[in-house]
Amino acid sequence: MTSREIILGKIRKNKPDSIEHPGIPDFSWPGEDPIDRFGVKLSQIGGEVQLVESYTEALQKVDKLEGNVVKYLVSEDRVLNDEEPETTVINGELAVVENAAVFVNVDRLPERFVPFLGERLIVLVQKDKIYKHLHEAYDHLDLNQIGFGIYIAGPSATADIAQILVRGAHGPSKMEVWFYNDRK
Amino acid sequence: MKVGLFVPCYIDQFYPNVAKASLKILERSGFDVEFPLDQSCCGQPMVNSGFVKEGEKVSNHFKNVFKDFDYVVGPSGSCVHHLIHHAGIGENEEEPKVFELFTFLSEHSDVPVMTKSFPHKVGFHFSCHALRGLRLGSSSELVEEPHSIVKPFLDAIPDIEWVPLENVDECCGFGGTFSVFESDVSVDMGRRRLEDHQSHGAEYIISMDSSCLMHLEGVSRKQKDGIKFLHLAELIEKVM
Amino acid sequence: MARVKHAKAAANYIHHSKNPKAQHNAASHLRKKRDREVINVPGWEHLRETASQIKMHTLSNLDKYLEEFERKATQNGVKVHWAQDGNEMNEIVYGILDQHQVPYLVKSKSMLTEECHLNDYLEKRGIDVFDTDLGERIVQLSKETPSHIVVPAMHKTREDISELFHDTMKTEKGNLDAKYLTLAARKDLREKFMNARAALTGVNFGVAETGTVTIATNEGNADLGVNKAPVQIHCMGLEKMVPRQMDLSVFLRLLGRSATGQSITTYSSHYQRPKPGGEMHIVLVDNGRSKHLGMEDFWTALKCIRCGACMNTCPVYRSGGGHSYGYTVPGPIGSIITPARDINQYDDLPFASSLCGSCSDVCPVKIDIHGQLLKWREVIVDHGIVDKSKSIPMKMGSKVLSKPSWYRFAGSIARKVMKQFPGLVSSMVKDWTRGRELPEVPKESFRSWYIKNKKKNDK
Repeated sequence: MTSREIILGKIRKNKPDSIEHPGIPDFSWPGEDPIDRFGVKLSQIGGEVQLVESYTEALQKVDKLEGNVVKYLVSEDRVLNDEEPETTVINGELAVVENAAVFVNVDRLPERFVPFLGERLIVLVQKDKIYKHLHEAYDHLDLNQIGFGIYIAGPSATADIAQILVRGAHGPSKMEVWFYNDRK
Repeated sequence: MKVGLFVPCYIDQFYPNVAKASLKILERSGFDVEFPLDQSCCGQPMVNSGFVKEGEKVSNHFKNVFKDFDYVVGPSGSCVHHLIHHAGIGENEEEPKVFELFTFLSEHSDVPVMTKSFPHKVGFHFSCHALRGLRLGSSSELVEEPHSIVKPFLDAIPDIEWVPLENVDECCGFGGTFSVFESDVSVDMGRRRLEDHQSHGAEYIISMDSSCLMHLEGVSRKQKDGIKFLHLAELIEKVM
Repeated sequence: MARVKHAKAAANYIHHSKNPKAQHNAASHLRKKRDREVINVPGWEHLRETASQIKMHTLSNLDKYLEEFERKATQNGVKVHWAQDGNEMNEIVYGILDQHQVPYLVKSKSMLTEECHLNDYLEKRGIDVFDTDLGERIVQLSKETPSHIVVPAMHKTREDISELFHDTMKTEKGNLDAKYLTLAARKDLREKFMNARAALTGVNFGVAETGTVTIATNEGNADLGVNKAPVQIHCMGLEKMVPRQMDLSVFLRLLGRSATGQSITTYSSHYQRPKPGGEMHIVLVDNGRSKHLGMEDFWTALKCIRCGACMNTCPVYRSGGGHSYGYTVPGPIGSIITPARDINQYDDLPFASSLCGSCSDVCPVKIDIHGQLLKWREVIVDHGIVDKSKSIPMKMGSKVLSKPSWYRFAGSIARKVMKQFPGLVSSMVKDWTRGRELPEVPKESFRSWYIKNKKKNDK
């Protein structure tokens, strides 16, 4: 017998009687200004929100960023750079108000390690793709269609030395979320 | 209504004043109270150490002694928690209902009239079995509306000043036989609780459980920090 | 392996460690952060209850979900392996690394691989392992084991770490700046990350519906490692399963908040498929879990999502330190998992608790931890493996306390004896009086007073 068969056999023999899945209750709460609340949450964890009118305006702003900037926003941007960038700019799928996380479909990037390199990470998210909590957010995702996807909430951080918070443990030390109004 | 006074073994032997005060408060509140002389212990020390059969012998004796009462009332959240939740007394209709003293008073009577002043800074120690076992108050881990069965009693004591604490409901470290099996940890925990109370200026520490107090007082006397200890029943009896 | 003796190890930590308050301070800090965060989550208690039920549902259908998970992951191009125990897991991981002639492995935090001693196994076979979580790196460099599952170097002070980094990475002597030290570790590991050919992580949740492994970290080390290296390996305990992607929404809302008071960890990654041109392996590890599942009174301990909240809240853990438990997962949850693995080695741990119940109230998946601690004591006593120092007084106590006349006799003797010989050398009194005074003995018991003053008046 293979280990697989032995393990599954033991589980079948030992498992308790089936207990029902409770379903996911409605955990929503009364309205709040989502962008505003997201901004407060993100600032608490060391990040920053910016508002831009349109995607076009966001792209123009990105072009004006100084230093070694790599961006993977439109298909022409898919060029890789050998050096670690100062600023990395990518698209996000959605944002979550309760925890200031943005979901990034990393399949859209040329390499999976892109969001973890560089000093400063900027994620562009469409303003109406913001959801109250994770239950709503997962409702708008289909992991079956994604090879690697990730929630990112704020800069890379650690407090492993005497509970003192240090940003930029292995990933970026700064994080910005830019909300734009529409795709134009 | 026939009320049996249950006096936990260590209160009987070491803290008779707590039992006297409990009796007085119950009588003052108009209850007909009797102390059955053959009682001993609830069986908790054995059961909490894993000796369930040994504990059952003791709790069976308890059942037998109190079988003719409607209510059994005792000044200990810990022992009462054991009797209700582990020994299962009261599950059966014919068995008496077991109550912690202040729960019984708050359900069957009014807060006693207290007229004498107690102008001291006092810290309240909520025993874990009263708090998280009997749920007589809201525990700090849970997100719930604050509630406390003893608050009306605490609020009624004239001129008392309750001090705030850093950790409102951390264990004192007694834990029954834990206090001797894990003596060093137990004492360390006790010191930490005392430090919390003392750093907030408490002259007295009050609790509904003499077992926690026996431990805390033991640590306190060893380190000679001068804190005084009273069971809540003793304090209320003083100011009635 | 030697029997763990918690009381002795804890006493040693309290009296002889360099900084016996380190664990208390750090763990209390995390518990407070947790409280401040969860109080603002509407429906927190309902969320805990939901999580508990989802886990019980999953565990009671675990075979089905593991098969679904395997099917889905395999369809996604992932290679799924099954390991009955730690040794088989180590062999599988070594096999993969050996096949690729990998000189070293970058590894992010995984308590499962700690449990199975993977590092030792690989290093003996010539493969270097670099732990990349800062806390784990610290304990690796100092040749210790984690003292906490979320904050592995919780027992170490800044001074300890500064000295360690000076010795191992040539950082400036005496520099205590946490940022300086953290960035030194970052720099030290950077080159390892960039050239890694294989990376390994633990797993927080496996999703049956999508074949996902979900990993929660704050540093980004797991993702940097996995995504730089062509070969990625994820070692996962069987109990990490959840049925659907939507279930993650419940657990990710609970995990970070309970662990460190964060609404969510910085990174919550979802791996479904290998990277283009890369390899992805998932090793499903039993190592006692399927046996644990069959223990009627104890199987719900497998609901645990390893947040560490029960450690942070536990006053015994904070006093005695994480190492006093002698196991990878310390604290209250460790004390109910370990006897399920080996009752003879860990029979002492269920007694290392005052049964205050704080662990059960703080647990995000509502494991009745202190209830199980108590139940384990009963099982251990029934097994007859409990120490005589515990069993003799209990058996005598039971005899005395179930017979009123014996109780009265013993009580009167105890009060007299304690009055005359406060330093009575019985082991229990000795243990009591080491840090405490005995209660002052009153003239008479309540019972005697009652007979004299009350009983007469009544009749």
